[in-house]
Amino acid sequence: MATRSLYVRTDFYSCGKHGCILGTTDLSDHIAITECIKSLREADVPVLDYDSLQTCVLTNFERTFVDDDNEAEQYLLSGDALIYLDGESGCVRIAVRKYETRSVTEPPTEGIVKGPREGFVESIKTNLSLLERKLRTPDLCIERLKVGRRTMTDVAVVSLRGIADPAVAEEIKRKLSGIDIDGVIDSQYLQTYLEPRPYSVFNQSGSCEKPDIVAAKLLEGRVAIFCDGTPIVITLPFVFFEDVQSSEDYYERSTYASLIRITRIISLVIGLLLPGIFVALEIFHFSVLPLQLLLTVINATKGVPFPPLAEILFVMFLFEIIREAGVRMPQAMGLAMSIVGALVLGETAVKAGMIGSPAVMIVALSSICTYTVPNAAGSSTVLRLIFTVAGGLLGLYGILVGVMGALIYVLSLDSYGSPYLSPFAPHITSDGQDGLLKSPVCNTFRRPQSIPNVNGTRQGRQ
Amino acid sequence: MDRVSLRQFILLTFLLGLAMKMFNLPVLMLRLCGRDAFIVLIAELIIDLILLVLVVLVVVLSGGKGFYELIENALGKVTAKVTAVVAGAYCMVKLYMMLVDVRLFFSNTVFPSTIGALHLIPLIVVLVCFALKPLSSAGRLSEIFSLFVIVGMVLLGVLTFPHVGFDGLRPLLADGPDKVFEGMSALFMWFGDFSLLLILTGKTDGGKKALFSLIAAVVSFICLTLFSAVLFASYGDVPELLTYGHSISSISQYAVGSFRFGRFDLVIFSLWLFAVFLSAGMMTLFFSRSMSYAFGAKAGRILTYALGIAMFAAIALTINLNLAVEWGMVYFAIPSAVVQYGLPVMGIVALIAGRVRGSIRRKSENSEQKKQE
Amino acid sequence: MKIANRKNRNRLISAAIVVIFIVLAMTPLVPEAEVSSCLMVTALGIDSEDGVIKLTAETSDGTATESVHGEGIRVTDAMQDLNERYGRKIELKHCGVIVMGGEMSADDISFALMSLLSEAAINAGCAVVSSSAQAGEFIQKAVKLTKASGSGVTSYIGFADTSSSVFIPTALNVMSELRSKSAATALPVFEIVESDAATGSQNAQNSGSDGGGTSSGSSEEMTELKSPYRARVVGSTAFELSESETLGLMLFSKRANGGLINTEWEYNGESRIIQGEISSKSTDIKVRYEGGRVIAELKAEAVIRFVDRFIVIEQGNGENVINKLAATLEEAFTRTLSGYVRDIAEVTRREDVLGLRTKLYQSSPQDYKAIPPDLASAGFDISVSVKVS
Repeated sequence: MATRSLYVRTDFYSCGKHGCILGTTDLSDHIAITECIKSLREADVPVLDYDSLQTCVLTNFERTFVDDDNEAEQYLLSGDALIYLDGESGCVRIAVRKYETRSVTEPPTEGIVKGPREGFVESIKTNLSLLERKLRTPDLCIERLKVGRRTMTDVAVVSLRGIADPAVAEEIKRKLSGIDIDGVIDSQYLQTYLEPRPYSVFNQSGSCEKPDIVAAKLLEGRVAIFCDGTPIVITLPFVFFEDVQSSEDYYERSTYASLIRITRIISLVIGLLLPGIFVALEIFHFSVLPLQLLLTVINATKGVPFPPLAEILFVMFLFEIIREAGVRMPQAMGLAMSIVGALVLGETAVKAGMIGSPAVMIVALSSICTYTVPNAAGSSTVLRLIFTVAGGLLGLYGILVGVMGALIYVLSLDSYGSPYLSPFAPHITSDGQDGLLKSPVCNTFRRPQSIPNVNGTRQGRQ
Repeated sequence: MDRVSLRQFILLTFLLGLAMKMFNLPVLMLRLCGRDAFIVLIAELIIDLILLVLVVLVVVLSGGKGFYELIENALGKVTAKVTAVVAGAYCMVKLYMMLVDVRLFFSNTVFPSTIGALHLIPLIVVLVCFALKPLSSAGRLSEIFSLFVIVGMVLLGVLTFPHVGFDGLRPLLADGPDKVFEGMSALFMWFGDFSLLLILTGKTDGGKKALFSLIAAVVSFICLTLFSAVLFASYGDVPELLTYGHSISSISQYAVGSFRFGRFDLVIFSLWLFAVFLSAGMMTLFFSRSMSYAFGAKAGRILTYALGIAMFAAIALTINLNLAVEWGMVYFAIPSAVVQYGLPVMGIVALIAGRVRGSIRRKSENSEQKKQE
Repeated sequence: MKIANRKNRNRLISAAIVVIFIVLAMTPLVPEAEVSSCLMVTALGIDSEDGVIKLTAETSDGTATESVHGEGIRVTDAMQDLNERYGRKIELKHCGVIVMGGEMSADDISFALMSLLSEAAINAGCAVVSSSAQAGEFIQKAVKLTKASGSGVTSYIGFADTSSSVFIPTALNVMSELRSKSAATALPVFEIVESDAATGSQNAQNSGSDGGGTSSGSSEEMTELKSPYRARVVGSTAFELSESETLGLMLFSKRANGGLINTEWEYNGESRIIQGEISSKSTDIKVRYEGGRVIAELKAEAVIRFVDRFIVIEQGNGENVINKLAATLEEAFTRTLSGYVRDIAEVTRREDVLGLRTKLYQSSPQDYKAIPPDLASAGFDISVSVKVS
């Protein structure tokens, strides 16, 4: 049976004692271990035990005494080295982990024009260091856990003492501690345990890849969950409007930021409802359209063999195929496939009369609009499909009922005490300073009331 | 959270003041009473305003207790449960009439070839889900829906008021007050929506500030009166042109739908429909809560599901919708008036009885204390 | 156990969603006709001949405009005939104008509009006009005028409504007026004129007018829609108003904004025709019973901006001169407008186009019921004042 290969060194004798150093072949820094052995050989102490080892010999290393065999095993499997001395119980652990990680670069999912461009990487240590550089306060609480029986993934729950509601952090830790799974590969695994409705199509936890965003959210009273092996950090509680906000809103002038937020909301609504409304008007309510527009649509759809609903669904399906292929395909083929997608599926299909140009235009516009709020793109795509089917089967009435149903569902969502659609419903006046219209930072005196916190004042006297 | 904020209470009042009254009612009133429908409307709205005052007093003075708890404390558990069952039955019939209205409208305008009431299935599903959610959902929904409704009303006003000759409202009472009394006695069913707010007793923040909801009701009534006046003035001489189910659509299409635009009235009407759906949702919620009080939470939930199925079956089996409306006007008008105006009166009686009992109890405790001393 | 319950509940919800979707998708919820199989009617002409209703519709399918025809005992029968003849569903929701034939009586118009409006087939805001002769011929000639797809007739009539003093009533206005106590309405008369471009002679479509004109071999024949300067009254009788009567009616119409007025102006012994444009107006009609007789007060105030400034300016520009000029102009326009009002008042004795009975009923319904108003013996108290800017 193959097991993990260990790196074992027994070739030292110090102060009359033999010992051995255990490390792993792939995760431990062998050069550091060699330096450690050198220190041991050169040790000049009256008695060599673990105390003198830590205080006099291994002063150049991060070291702890470990009494428990399970704990020692965990350290060993994480890449640390263990020093055993003949005749002594327990061991000393030295931190000699050496992983290959990515360098800190701009994250691909959160591009901005102005502002910091650092992004998290897969190493939790690096990520926490990036965060600690932003929040140099003793109130930054980092509580570490190991989750996953076999992966023993390092997870850190981070909050700001004196701002975040301790009950929220406790609840999160309780849920994480209660996870009994064999492995946690990504933070998305943890999200499913932390969200109240894991089957829901709506995001119920925030995710981000940038330390400035996490720092800002912590300052608002949220709790961040870091997971080793992934650059995506989860933040809780979550409200829907977080997805509409962008970090750039805080690095631009507030007037422009307000305009852009309104644009995003309008884009999102257009993206969700446009295909459904178009299909509903084309099938049931074509009298709503002015005559010239209606005649243009009729001419454009003459000869299309599919009914309007099937046509729109087909085009939406094509777009999803193109999008998915664009993400998955190798870079070398990207250009060629883009041309195929655009020309063949778009222009040629329209010219051949398989689909109408209004359908292509509507679906393209709708898709682009949903990506103005990229974090909500997944839920937007599903909702858009539902509204399109509702519009195609039941017209404007179907869309209205669908919107009402979606709103009823969403309005009953609460994320750790934060209503999902705040500050709109329930309306929280003070949160409007960072709502649809953004106030300048100098006028933002209060933390958002929709996020539970113990200190609501950001600026000025409490 | 099973509470609503003050703002949400006010907005709910605003929406309930409008909802079903702008759907098919004005057309029905015009066909029944002619131009005197305007007087009927104002009279009914005044009565509704008085009803709202009673409801708000119950909500404000309840001392944190729910509506049925108030009655139970003052008049006994049996009385409270019977009241809950009667209220539930009222909600059931009224919801049926509401859905008949909805089906009539859509059958006339959008789905003339629909078989049965299939298009009501999604609506009934949504209403049942709404009824089983906490009250905070209803409050939050009112905050969002009120925006759409206000936009629809502003659009409708801007597009219609400049074109209307309000002289067409006259003459009023040309044939005496008979038509007014006839209209009032037949149309109670479409009013009294404010009694639904009793379900928020003990669950509303804001205390005495809930009285501001009267302003919201007055605003909604003014809007309602104005829009109804537009319909009555425009179609006063030709009520037979109006197919039942064309109220807002009829108001807007003649002013808006000139050859320069498309049928914009349907878009405006869509915004109005949100208020209608919320009103139907509140009715279902009231039923659910009443049944939960009367028979327990689990039974209440099951009965709510059963209500959805029963509503669909009832409407699907209704062959002649116009006959159903007439049946409602003949047989249900007075009973609905008794219930919808009786419930808040009962609340007030319970409040008074509770206070009287409390003061008697305190006096007897004081006298016992004095004796002991 | 909790997880199992949640899984079962989710399965149930998913199954319910699938079943509802299948039920809705498999049932014929789609409307009767797809939009591409409909024929969009943009203008509709209605004629009544020997008890048969004849419909002529201007239709558009995006590439061309054509006219289609149908007949029947009632309007609905004629519509059904149209559907059957052309094999496509006639769609009336974009109909912008209904042209009533010159021979249609009040009852004919009332029944036709009732059929079209009560089914919500047409928009209540649809314009209703009259043609000088047959509506069908009017529509057919109008179709030929259309150069591009879309509606020629409605675009022209729409332009006429906004550009000049013409009032174009809506279908609802016409129905309301016909069903009111006045039982009379006035429709603007549009006509199509074929003119010879070189000689300028005109052959009017109306067979009643003189058809003079010389033929010219090298000139081009033009067909044009003429702006309506006349209206047709439809009530217990039907007749066309003269130009002055029409102008008097438009003065009191709330829908008509302005209009050009020609008046004869005498100054310094010279007589000229001056044209003025009504830039604003205010009118009021009060009706009352007095001594068993209907008395109507017709009051009109107008501000006129005269168009032919140079004729006036050449008379001088001193202040006294201007004041005297203004006074004489005002007198001239007042005289002309008063004439128009008197003319329409006389028409009202025959057909209540000014809505006097309706106003009487609105103000005193009990008196109205007691004393049927006889407008033939009505007295008119006319007051017109004009300001010249």
